Amino acid sequence: MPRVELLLAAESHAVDQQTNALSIFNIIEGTYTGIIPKVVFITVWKREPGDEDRDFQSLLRVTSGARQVGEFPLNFRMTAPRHRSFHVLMGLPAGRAGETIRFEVLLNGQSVGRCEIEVSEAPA
Amino acid sequence: MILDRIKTSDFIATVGYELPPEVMRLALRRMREYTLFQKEYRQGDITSDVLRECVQDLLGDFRRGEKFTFDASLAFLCVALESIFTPFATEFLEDLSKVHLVEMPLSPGVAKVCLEERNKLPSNLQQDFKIADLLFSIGEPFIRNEPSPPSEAKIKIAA
Repeated sequence: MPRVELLLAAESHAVDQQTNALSIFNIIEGTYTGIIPKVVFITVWKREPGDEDRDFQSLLRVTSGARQVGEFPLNFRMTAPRHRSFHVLMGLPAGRAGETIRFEVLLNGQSVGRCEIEVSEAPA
Repeated sequence: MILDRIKTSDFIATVGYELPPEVMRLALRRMREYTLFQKEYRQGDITSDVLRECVQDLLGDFRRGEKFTFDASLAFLCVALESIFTPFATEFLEDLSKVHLVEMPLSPGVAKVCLEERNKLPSNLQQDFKIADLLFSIGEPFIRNEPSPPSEAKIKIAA
């Protein structure tokens, strides 16, 4: 099964059309209450022996405090030694101050990683 | 311009003897001309149209039964275009890698090695999810998720 090399939430990203270089902008470590207009959740997968050209089912599960925001599937094939998945979430509700937004990544039903961002009261 | 330089007998002599494709690829990457090519490309002096014209010009010299004069020049272009993901560069490498001609013992092998290196780069898959239609019930938000069709690209190809 592919191994997770990197996973994080950011405001935006870009893949250079000519070199395939990935750039990530404004990693999100904390946020304010309200709606986050756009979050891109990036997972970089590293191929393991036996993964070549196999299909994998990845799922991003997002919870805010005790509430489930949603589950976002993104299936992929390991056609290259590394694969990057980009879940772009538009209009993510941040929940209440003091809560945590959790992003959990599952692969073929198994949890393989997660990251959390804290929600603070929006400044007046 | 570097594309003029790679047609000269001086350049071809500098490339030297034919080496195995993997070794030739490394040797060509270390040449000064490789750096100059990348610089001219990034400055916009070398476009896909210019490259297409250059390749056609080189291939115009091909004669059946004679060693192709610009085999090393084409090998150089393979290496120079390896990390450039335009439709022309991809088409050039793929087409050249399929050539099996006695007259061109070098460049098809180098094209194949360059393609193998390109295929080692990460693949990308993006899907957008619109978390829309927030409906509030007893103060709690209810959210429905509307995925848009995924966009998949090995590389997002420049127009």
